[in-house]
Amino acid sequence: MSRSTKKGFYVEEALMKRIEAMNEKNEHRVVRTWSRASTIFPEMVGHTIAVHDGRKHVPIYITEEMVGHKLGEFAPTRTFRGHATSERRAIVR
Amino acid sequence: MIQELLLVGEILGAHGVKGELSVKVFSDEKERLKPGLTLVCRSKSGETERKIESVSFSNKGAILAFPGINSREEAQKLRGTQLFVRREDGLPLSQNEYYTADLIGLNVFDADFGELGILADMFDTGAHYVLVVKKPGENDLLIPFTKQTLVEIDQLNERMQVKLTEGLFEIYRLLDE
Repeated sequence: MSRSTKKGFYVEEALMKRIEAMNEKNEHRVVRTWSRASTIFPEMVGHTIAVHDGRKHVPIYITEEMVGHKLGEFAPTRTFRGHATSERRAIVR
Repeated sequence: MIQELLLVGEILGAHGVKGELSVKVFSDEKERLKPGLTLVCRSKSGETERKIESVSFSNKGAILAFPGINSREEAQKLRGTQLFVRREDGLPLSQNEYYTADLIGLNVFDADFGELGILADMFDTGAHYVLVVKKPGENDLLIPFTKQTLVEIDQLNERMQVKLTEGLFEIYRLLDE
């Protein structure tokens, strides 16, 4: 069953407070969070949030396209690293 | 470090009895291997060049045929062989796109913190790639591979210049100590 619309989207209160405080000061500091279930709000765009993957914090730069998704979607908990010399391409986003 | 050979797959073993080979593909594009493409086959016995005769794809990867390999026994001998393409046959790169193989091994620097270490690994998060920078005796430093943090990549001097977001260095190298 999906979350009741009456409640609105879930976001950890402490995380949102820190983001709003930084927005007021026009500051961009990396924020650490363990709250993978928090929804990405438009206020978070342009900030870097280090999301816990169970072992370490993965720094995620928030862009407009990510709004509405959960933070945990961008910090994979299981990673197959592959081979160092494989033909993989990485784009600077 | 600019790589001349890019790994595209590894032979898992024989497929069927006619000398076909089951291959695990490591490239970004799963249907990367095409008939006529020249592969550099690297095994314990050395390197040889072979042209792909035919290829088909399954859920597990690709099934390749090389000319001159006509029996299961011959195919089985190639098990564990790594398959590379020459750089000029590699997948095309768009602007701001790099082969991860070229970046791994670069020295990473920041204007404020100096030498951060060596780029040991990169992984995709779905949002962007993340760089894993290692330095002996220090914790791994994770850096988002974005326009905001990347300043310059100098492949000739094996150097990458980054500008760390405020608070990023402290998360990995100071807080955990």
